[in-house]
Amino acid sequence: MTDPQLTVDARGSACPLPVVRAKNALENIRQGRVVVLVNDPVAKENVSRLALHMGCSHHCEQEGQGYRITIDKPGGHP
Amino acid sequence: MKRGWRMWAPPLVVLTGAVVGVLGAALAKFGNPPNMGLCIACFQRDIVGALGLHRAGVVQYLRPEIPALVLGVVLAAALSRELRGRSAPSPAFSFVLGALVMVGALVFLGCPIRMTLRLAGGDLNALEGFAGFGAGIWVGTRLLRRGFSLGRSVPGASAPIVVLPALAAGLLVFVVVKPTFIFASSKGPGSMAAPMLASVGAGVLLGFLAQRSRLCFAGGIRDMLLIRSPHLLVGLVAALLAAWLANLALGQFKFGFADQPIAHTDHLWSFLGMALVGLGSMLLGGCPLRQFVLASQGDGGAFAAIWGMFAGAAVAHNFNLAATPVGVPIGGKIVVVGGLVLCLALGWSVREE
Repeated sequence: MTDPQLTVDARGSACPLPVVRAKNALENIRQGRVVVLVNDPVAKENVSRLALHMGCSHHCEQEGQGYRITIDKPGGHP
Repeated sequence: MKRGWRMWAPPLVVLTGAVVGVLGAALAKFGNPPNMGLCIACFQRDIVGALGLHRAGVVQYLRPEIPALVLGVVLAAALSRELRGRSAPSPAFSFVLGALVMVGALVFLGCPIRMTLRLAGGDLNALEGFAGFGAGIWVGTRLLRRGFSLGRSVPGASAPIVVLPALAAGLLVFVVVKPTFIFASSKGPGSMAAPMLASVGAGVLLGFLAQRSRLCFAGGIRDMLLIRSPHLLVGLVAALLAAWLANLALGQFKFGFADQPIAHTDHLWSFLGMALVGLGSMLLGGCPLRQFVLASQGDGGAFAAIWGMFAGAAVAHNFNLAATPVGVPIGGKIVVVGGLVLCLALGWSVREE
């Protein structure tokens, strides 16, 4: 499997569901990219923090009224 | 990428926790009930009593801290442009969960803030509360990972943004004017109060900092369990340490289980009461303090939850569910067990695919 991409749409979900869903998605892939959509600044902060704690690189961008957080999980972290 | 110690212990969260601890100890010194300088659940219950919505004569006082907290949150959210309406996806569930959280807190005798302040004052009965709170949160995280969700909110105009600050301002007017229809205890915890300006100042400061820091007493333990992140837990620890040091300095520290102020030694029900608070808070998405912050910045679900908490306080004292220093009434035990079963059933069955 090379560089799969998953999209997690967590817009409108209450804390901590964006983090739970992003974590579930990241744990379900060996490596690759997970895109998380949120529309709340706290959810953006929490998902970014999750990426840091899981040793993944990430970047956030504004998308409409919300945010798109792109998380890249490196290989070697099953 | 920001890494390092700030990720583990954000300064604003530590500061907010420390402020909670110091204010809690100081307000008790200034006149609020012992180990109850701050307590979201107790103060809501006192307000409900002051408005005549329950008839427990010893716990009726229009606590200024709660409406002041709402105004502090609104100020912080307005300055940071986070004052935005969101619909309540499941208002009935949020209302019921809020009411159950309140009954759990009144069976233990304190919300998570007072639980922390009680331990910091040497009340070891709070240890069982902490154990129960942690157990409830642990179960809640399992249910969240399994897919529990109250649904999705949608952005838009929301009543809380207008209603809550207006109500808060109205209550503060009543605090000053003291109309005759407002009840005030002449004995018991409701008769003990810090000076009004100190209470208002503390409430505004707490609301402002809690909004900016996202401090949540349930979220601290949850994030540690869920993602091994201590970034909110450090706030709870800071509150505990700051209140402990302040209590020592102010001569308010009394170590032991017996004869603690406004506390009982019914260990099982301290555990189960706070287990209900922990589990209910998980399903709601935050502790009682966090519900007030979210509601005040426009969240419809949290708005329903705090009305549930007010209703739970009225029910708890009208129908003899709330604990007293003597112990926990049978009605309170039945509702706590029933509430835990209901939370588990909700957490298991309400899912979003």
